[in-house]
Amino acid sequence: MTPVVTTTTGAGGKTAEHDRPGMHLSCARRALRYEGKRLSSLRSPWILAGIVVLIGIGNGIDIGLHDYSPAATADVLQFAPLASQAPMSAFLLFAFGATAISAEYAHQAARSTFLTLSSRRTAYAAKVAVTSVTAAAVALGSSLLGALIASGMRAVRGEPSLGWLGLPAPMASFTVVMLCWPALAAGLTALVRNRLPVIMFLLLWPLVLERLVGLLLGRIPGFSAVPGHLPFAASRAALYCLRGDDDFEDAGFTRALLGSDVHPALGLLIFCAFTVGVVVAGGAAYTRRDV
Amino acid sequence: MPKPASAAPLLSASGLAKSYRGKRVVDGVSLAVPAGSVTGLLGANGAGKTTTLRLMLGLAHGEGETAVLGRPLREWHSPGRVVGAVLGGVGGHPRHRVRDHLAMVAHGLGVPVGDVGPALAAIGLEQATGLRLGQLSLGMAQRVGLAQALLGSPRVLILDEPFNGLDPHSIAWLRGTLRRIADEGGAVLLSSHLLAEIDQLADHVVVMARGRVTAQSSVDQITERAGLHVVVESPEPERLAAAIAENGGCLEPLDGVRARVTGLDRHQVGHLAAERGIPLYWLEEKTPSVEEFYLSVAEEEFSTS
Repeated sequence: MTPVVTTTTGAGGKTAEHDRPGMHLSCARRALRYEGKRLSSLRSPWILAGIVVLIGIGNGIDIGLHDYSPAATADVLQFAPLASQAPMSAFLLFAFGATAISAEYAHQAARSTFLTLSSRRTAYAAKVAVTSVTAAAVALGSSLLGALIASGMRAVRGEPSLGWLGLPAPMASFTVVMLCWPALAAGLTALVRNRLPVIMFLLLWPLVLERLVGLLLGRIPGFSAVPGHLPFAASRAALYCLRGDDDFEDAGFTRALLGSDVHPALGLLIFCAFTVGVVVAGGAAYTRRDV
Repeated sequence: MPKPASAAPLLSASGLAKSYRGKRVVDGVSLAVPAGSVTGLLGANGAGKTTTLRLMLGLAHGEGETAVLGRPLREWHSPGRVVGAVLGGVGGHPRHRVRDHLAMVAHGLGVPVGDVGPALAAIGLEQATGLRLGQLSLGMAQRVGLAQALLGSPRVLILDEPFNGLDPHSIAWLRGTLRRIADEGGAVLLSSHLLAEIDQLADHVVVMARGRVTAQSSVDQITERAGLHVVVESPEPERLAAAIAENGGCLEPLDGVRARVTGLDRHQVGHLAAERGIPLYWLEEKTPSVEEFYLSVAEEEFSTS
């Protein structure tokens, strides 16, 4: 639909153009720039991003100093999702999504947002998109920086180069998972209006609670396969995509940490579907709430 | 005196209604704000003024429809460029600096970020540009909120208690700014408890009580309806009352010292007192104020409930 343009003279005597109903790319562009400016004007995202970059550098030094297997190298570059049950970068950067929504309610910023942007739906989509893409970019950038440092250190030490050819798949899964975490946080915060329970949930659920739920479900006849398909177990399966060398010393322990034997692609699909469901439910709450 | 407003409403609402837990807090509110006018929304605490404004702005969901420049606000791609709103200071992250917050809004509105500086200069807050929103005083927050509302150069302004927290200088500045916007063809709707400010500024008043509009009128109509009255002070009020009654007027005591005369103007009262040899210590012709209009409407409303 082609937008109709009307011209009105503003209070300041300026001439302003306002587009009449219809699809318009400028609405999305303005919403993205609005959200980008909101995020970049705060200090906390820079601090969190800085911490992730430092961890990424540390990971690179760690890989450079040790002779890890390709699977272990990928795990370190993915911010150790096996050891911490989710990428450490996700635990740090999901706050981008939670605060993007919680500040709307806590400080009446939603009034400014709703009176500035073309629609609540556009505003919400921009918040989810900007926080997710920023978090994923920071995490991926930190990983790649770590890989470069590891390669450099190996070259200096005269050791074989990092297996770059094996990295695209784990890095792609890692990027998708990192896109999902802030979106999950944004959706959950939109549902409950408060970031504190969301932060507690996202810290505790993958670490402890999902395991307990999985144990209980596993005891129900016919549900034995369900624990491996729970969202965060599925995301670990998606990240652990360099299999085939399961005969190493700690393979049993690794499998226990993984907690899922679903195919990485299916794991990624499950986690993405769960994220989309939460984001859509959060969006419905966000667009309907009075402010 | 303000210029008479043109007929076409830039902002109109019809049948606005909102319930909280079964209680009707706004009930069938309809009002129109013509171009070139300032409309004051009056009412006691809990009358439903703020909820009405939030309904009009689409911040709260309810029944009814609001049109801004002829169409619902949700249909405008850049709502901040057709209506500016100030609802109790500035809504934003307390860690944001003023310049960053306004730059963010400028990005959202699609106006040049370079407009932020002049907007801050216009409200006299150039020195506050580096302050965080959480550091602003109530008055400063109101002014930043107004700068934000004006950033998109909208033709319609909606303000909820805009004089709260402002010093006398700022109040005078705000009054002048709102008057100028209306005189340039804009439409301003503001709620306020400060009836004296509404009296000085508004062309129209809408009175709300218990979620309903109980009266709305132009200031000119109020004057016509209530007419002028004269305030007098005399040591012989009984003789003066009798003389005024003989000439078709009416004298009512006000506060034990002064009295209000209706039906005669100050010239007639002065001549009458001089003819009868009745001393006068005070003689003043008064136009009915918005405050008196509001109080009379409110009194009526409460006496019938």
